[in-house]
Amino acid sequence: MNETDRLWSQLSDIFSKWGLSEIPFSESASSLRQTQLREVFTGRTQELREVFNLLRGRERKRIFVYGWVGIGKSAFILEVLSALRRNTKDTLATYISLPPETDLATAALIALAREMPDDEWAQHQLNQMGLRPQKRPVKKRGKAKAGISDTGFEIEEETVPVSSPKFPALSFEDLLARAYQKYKRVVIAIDDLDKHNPARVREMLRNAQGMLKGEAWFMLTGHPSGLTRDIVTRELGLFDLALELKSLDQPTTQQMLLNYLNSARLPKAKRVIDHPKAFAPFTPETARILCERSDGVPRWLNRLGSYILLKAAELHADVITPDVLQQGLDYANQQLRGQTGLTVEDHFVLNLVMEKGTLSDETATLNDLERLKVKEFSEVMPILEKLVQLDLLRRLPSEHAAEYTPSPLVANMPPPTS
Amino acid sequence: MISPQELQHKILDEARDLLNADQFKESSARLEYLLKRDDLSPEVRANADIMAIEIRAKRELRIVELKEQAESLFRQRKWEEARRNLLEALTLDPRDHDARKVLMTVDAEQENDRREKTIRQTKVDLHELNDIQKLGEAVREAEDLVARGQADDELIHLLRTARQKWSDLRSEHGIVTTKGRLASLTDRAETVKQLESLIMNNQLIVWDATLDAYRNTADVLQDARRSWEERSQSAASEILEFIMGDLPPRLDLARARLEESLKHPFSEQQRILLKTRLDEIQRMVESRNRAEELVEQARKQDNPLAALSLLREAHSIWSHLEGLERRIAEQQELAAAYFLSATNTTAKDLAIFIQTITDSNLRAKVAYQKGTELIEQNRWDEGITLLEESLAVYRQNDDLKSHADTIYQIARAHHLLSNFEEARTRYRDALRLYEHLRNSNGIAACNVGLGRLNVQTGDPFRALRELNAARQIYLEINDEQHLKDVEEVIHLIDRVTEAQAA
Repeated sequence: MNETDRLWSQLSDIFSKWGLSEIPFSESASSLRQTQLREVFTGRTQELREVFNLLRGRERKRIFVYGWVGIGKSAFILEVLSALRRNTKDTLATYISLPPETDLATAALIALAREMPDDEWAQHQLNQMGLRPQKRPVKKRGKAKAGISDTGFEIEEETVPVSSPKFPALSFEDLLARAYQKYKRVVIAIDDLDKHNPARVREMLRNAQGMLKGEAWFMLTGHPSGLTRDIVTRELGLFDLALELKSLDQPTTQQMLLNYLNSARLPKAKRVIDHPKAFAPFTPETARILCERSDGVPRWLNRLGSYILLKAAELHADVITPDVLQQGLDYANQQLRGQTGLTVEDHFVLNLVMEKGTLSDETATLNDLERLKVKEFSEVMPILEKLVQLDLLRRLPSEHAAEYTPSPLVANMPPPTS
Repeated sequence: MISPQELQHKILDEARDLLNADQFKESSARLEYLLKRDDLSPEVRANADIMAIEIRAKRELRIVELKEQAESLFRQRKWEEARRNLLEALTLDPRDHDARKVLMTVDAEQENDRREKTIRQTKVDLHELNDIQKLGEAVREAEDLVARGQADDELIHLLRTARQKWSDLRSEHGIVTTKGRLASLTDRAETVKQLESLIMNNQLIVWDATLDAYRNTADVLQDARRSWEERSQSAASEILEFIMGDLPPRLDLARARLEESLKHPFSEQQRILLKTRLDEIQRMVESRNRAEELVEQARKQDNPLAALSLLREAHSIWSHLEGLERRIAEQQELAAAYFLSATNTTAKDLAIFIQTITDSNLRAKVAYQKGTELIEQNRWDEGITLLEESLAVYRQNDDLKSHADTIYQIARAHHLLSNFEEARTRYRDALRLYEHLRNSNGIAACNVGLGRLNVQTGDPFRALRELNAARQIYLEINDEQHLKDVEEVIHLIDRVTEAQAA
């Protein structure tokens, strides 16, 4: 056995001792398979009920799901769509994360076409946009072969040139009409609006009002700030339900941690929450601290959990004691601050927030801003939002200000005590 | 081992061989050696005696022959060969008085001959009137001959003419070499030509007055060229320095000076340099003239934008026209006013126009005014675009008041668009700057904006806090109109709050 094999074997031994087949945590719900998502999705009972109530009705609805980065918006709508697929035969449920530089109609068209693999026109639309269709469109062309009497036709494939749809809203309407020939209900879920330039999204929403008020059901996701808050507050009549996903409470967070750990255990080894080693390799105490540190945000639970397990494996720790947990948290802090793509300006802003504890457009002084070489809070906002996306900062759920504070993943919290 | 008899025979044989080669002295020496020996065999002694007589006879014959040959050579005036024969004869017989006497005659004839040849050659050399060195040497030789009384009348006459010519040449070349080093640009240039001409006329040596010596003409020419180049360079530098100092307003003067300069005999390298500069200045003059034409056209143009365009073109061609930049700035103001007064201008046209304004402050001002105007016309997005354009300028300069005003207008536009969060952050940005500037009106306006915004977002308490702050300021600055407006809103909120409480 060479050194590499030995290392691999050591790691396998650790995971085997922990009763896990792999690191179960995942930063994004969209990277999970449907079965995995079902296993780990936890809580949100009330919110699901509200959505399902709407979905029970005949009249098409537009649902806006909003919440902070990592709160589980994608997981929530994927779970809703999954439930629809499992429980209703006449519903076509589609999902797309809004691609860059794409308007809502084109995104909806792509999402719908992808779920209609047998529809030649739908696949043709995808091919035209340069996207790989489920079934490649082929053109049949007659081709006689002289001298061989029993040869009829040959099939030739032709490459169709790539081009964006000229009228995406109309193309979508056409495709939707075709979908309604087979289904009673079509749900289009467009995720991650908040990851785009707010001004552009605002314009896109305005342009897409006709489509959104059309024949399909829509589910959109976004942050509870800025643009999306305005959408909710403004009461444009665009959405029938604006559903805010808030942080999970501690029992639910612990259940989620258990679900994640169980998803990497053999069926017979899965544990219930009352089991003395339910959270192994975490102790009940370190599991509790992890959940508290995650502050009810699934993404933070996943990121921290992942870093802690990696550190524990490196330390060959059979059990994640408070000491191992602290080392894992330090490791997470170190990894997050050392992420690639952080500029000098990003570090300046991060340091200022770390120093002040909270940076808000309401309380920031001109002196604070001048330290960042700007005179307006608006100029710093894009950096603050970037740092939120990188889990270095969190935006506080204030309705009165844009307030940012270090995320629990990097905040200088006291070491966990027993 | 050789026996004494065999040795005696061998020596005798050698003596015979030497006699046969007319080497009488060497042959006699060997016979003398043999005849002094006591052990000499009678046979060898007899042979030696006979050979001694043979030597004597043969030597005398040889002397007669040499003298006869010398006589013949003397008649042919071949002095050296005759002398050689006589000297050989005297070697064979030093007491031969005839040979000695003839030898003295030969020497005297030879000396006469050499003197005549010298006089002839000197006469020839005295005719070399353009070769200063040859002439100089001939003059010295002739003077020597005159001093020794060997000169004839012809030589004396020739010497007189040659001496004058030689003096002239020394003077002339001496002046040339001095001028080549020290004189004006023109003189130095002429020196070079003169020296070149001397070389072409095969005058390879000149008298260098400075060095007080004859020198190779080619070397002197090289010195003269260098001297000419140095003078050219310093003169050209002087001219170029004069031209380059504040050139744009003195283009005509510079051109005249260069044209005048080029009449002087500059070295080729400096001439090219000056000519190139003259060409450049010529082009500048043309550009300036073209720019002046465009400015004149702009003056006659009614459309301020077209006039601005002409002025900009003139500036791009020749930016040094006096007052042009000021005129462009004024014209920009006019064009801006024209644009601002136009009601049907599209935001796109405005954006294009604004981008062409080079003065960033004016650009910001126009963008601000037109942006505000567009917002009043409910063209919010277009207005915001222009205001952001203006803001980009104010972020780079110190005009905090305009900076704050622009942010305030952007906040207002977002407020009108119901982009409440954006509006709130912008109001606060503007408020921070107004507070820094202690601008009461600005502070109050932001307070009112935030107050109204809080009303719309359902937070009457915060709204009242902001509005009351504004009210206080309006009271302090005695702004009755604004005070009335804000009090109306406060009153409305109070009524709604009371109704809700009830």
